[in-house]
Amino acid sequence: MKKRIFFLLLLWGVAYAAQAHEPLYGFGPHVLFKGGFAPHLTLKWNQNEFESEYALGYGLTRNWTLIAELPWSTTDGEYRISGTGLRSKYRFWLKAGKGISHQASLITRLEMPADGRGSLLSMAVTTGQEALHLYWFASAGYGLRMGGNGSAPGHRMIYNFSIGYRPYKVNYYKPDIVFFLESSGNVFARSSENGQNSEESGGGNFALAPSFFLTYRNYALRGGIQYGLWNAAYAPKIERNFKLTLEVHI
Amino acid sequence: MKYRIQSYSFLALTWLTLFLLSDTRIHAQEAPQKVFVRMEVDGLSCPFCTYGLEKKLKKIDGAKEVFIDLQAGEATFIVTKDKQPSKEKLEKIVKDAGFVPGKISFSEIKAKKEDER
Repeated sequence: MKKRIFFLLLLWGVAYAAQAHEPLYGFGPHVLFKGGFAPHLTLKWNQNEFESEYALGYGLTRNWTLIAELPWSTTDGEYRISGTGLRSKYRFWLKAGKGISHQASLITRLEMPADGRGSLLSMAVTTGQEALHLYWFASAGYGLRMGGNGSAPGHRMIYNFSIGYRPYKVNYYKPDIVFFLESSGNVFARSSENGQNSEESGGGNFALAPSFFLTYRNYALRGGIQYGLWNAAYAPKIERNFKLTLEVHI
Repeated sequence: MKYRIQSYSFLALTWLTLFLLSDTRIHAQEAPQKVFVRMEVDGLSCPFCTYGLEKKLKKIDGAKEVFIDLQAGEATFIVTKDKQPSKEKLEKIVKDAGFVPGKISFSEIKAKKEDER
């Protein structure tokens, strides 16, 4: 036990991670086994910015996982903690057969940025299938931005759909890979300033991302490239970015 | 003289027979009966998720040779008869690992097979 705590503290101190067993640019219904720990490191970068996130998941029950998140980013040329997050994922439906499972979960996430922007409370429903060859995930959520610095940024709807395919026969004792194509998007409501809706706000965007999920037993590496394809009104176009996640289950 | 040699030979054979018999008896008592446990597990599709099940099965007191076959959708292991877990306990382990338990069977491993191992 002491060894495990030391290992976790060590990881907390030196690594910054996030979740591998989900779409890279969205959510998924997978929960951790009861009593399991899952430290993860996520790196995301584009031409102008570098972000990393360390997260630690814990399987509170067989259906309920709690995840603490610690994101870092380059802001004004400085690399620092950009906030903290707490995520709860509760699986309320599971149907399984030989080599296949369908699940659905409810995700609640509280993100508290460190830069004075308002906290973001998100709720999402996510469902999906995991099978020997074919995967899919579908999620939709609503983000409620609680105003910071006297302004009230617009609320946000998020959605994603991903399909994945495992081209090889799976064997628990050998490395495994699944390839995904992920689509994700946002719809932003108008922001308000002193009770007035801002005309120059709101809109939507959409992006596609090919990604992979490489695992060996309890180690997982996930990576992908996201391409912003569409944006409307005042929503920013998603810049092309790269993302990597390393996760271990212990 | 001949009679003496025959007596010694008879004694030696008797002693050897008794020794071998007692030795076999001791071995028979020492080698505990082993049980092969086979569990059907629904939802086994991803090796990364499967680790939780392996971890929990390895924690079962006396469990050895834990093996998980994703294609067959089953997990197997060997345990001594005196430490054989109940079906209820195994079902709880599978559920806690995030899967759905199926049919669970126990079959005794014959001693001869054990020697071959």
